[in-house]
Amino acid sequence: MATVHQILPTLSPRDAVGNSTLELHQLLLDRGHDARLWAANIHHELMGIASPLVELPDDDAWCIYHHSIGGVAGDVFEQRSSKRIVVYHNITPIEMLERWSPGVGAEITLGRDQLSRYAPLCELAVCDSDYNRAEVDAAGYRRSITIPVMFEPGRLQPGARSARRGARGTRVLFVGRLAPNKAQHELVSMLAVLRERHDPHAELHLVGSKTFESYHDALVDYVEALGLERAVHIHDGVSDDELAQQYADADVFACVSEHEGFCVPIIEAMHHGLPVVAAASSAVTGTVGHGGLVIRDKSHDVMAAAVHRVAADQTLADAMRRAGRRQAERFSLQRTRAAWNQVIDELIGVA
Amino acid sequence: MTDSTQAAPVSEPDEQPFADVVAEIMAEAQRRRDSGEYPIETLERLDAEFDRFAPLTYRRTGIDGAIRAVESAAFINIDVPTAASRKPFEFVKQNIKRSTAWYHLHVARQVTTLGIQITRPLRMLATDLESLTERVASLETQSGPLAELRTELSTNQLPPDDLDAATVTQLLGEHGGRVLVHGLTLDTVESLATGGLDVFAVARLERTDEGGSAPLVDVRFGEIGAHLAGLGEGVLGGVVLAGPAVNLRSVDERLGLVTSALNALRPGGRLVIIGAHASDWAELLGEVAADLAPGRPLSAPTWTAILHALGARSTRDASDDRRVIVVGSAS
Repeated sequence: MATVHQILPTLSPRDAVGNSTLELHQLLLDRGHDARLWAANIHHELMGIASPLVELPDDDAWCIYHHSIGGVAGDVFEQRSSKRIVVYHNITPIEMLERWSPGVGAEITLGRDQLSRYAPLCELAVCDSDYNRAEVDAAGYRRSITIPVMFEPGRLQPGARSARRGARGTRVLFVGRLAPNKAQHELVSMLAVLRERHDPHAELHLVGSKTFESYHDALVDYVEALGLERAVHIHDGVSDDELAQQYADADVFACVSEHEGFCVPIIEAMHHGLPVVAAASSAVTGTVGHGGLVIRDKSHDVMAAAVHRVAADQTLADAMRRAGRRQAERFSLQRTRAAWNQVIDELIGVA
Repeated sequence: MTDSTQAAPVSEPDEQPFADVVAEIMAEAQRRRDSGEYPIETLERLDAEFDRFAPLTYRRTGIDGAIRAVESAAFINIDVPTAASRKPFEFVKQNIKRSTAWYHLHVARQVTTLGIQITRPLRMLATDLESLTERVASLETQSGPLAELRTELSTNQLPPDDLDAATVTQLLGEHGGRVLVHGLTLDTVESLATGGLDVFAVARLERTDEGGSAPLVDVRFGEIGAHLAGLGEGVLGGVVLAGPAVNLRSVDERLGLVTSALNALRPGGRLVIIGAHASDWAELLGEVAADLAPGRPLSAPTWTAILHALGARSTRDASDDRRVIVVGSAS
């Protein structure tokens, strides 16, 4: 039995990195290891599971660090003398965020600097996607591997299509934090074209928390300027049941993100039998894979035409649902756990 | 597990199962554009509409761009949306719109005029500020012991950071477009031109002592910082910076150079920075001169961090024993 510390800046429930960390924690326990969780910020729901980072003992136990933007947790990881693994969840490019939150630039720059500095220190870099892995390889890591984010799409109980769901138009869904790199404003533009040219009653439902106040405000102002207040619905702070209901009620999942390190909601949508239309970018292309439509031209009219085609063509939608479920299966928890088991057994050892 | 292990199949799809459908969708969108049913200008107007609500980006647009954004925001669009979920409401909205259009137009004109009146003095201030900045920079270089030292260092004591034309060409890659070179010898620039690059040089002083023949390449005489700052966005295919501009200037000046260079590059265009190794600095200049120099060489990791921080898409360290060479690609 080996002691294995997992370190991360913030541990939150209902968050891709948080969920993946908790799954890995459980996996380590299942393998008989003494798994421990440490975070600089711990959500109150997880207080009993994780401990404050300042209490991390100075021992020679294995250390797994979940890296995204820079912070003090990275410094703690860097200063350790034990064997280390970095799990890279990607860093949004500075130019996509600095306009909306000037202060975030320093954290991003630090995060990229830390990623390079950890290269000679780590036994292995584990990446959520091949897109992330390309960055890690460029940073000079000796060994890298792609293991998708660990999550269980089945945790959301598939809901029945809501009885309230009497909308005449196509219901388009996107799930993700309201953030500039996720480009929800471009989905609004797409909806404007969709309603004007194809489907006057189409609706857009955006599920996600407000992380950039200025972006949220601009998005709301934009919606009002286009006169789409009744067609665009922003759902913040939804429960798992509500999220499952959103997947059940939607007709198409659309994604025009400019930057994603993986994009868990795409797989969740596929798992729930929702056809996925996505603009090719970053890790999105690999996550959608053969399970949906990947559009290389993200112009609003092209995306609108794609969404309308899927909504109007039931044969195509059914084929996409089948393809999506196959793709979601490729990212199943069973497979990602098996991949992590291999890593743990080889590097850390069998308990 | 090997270095190339991939635990789960996550890769760029080689052949999309819905490729035919995507092709049909693209063709349909193109047909609508060609027929004028959905002109590209309409799509661009949507983007411009959103930009009205986005924060100003002084660093990216400069003062001029920020003022233009204010002017744009001051434009009041009186074409009020009238769509409604029920026809009667839509009818009511249309009638209100028609009956109040004269009033809204009157108010909108006044607001737009106010916007112009506000931005006019801002433009005058911007022009004065630019002039002041140039004069201060000029005073800095023309007076004081540091200016003398800088001139002496740049003309006499610094060994050239020159690279052969073939290496420079290889570092620039094949991205097309004009290439601006500063800090390499004119012979090298001429070799680059002979080799097929569409190249021009920016130099501080005219060459008068090297045989008297006119240079075979386009040479713009002026200060590199001012020249780069005056270029439009995405107009160059490559930029090469070497010599005192890279080694001797203050960090802020060098950040300004890199910012302007990346802004002037088209996406994918490369910025090649050639400098001295910091470890050689005191040996090259003598300790006193090295200590008093306005700036000192930056290391390859520092140039790399600067390029990333200023938005370069990717970077490469091609340094050798004699010089620091860092290449950044514009995004």
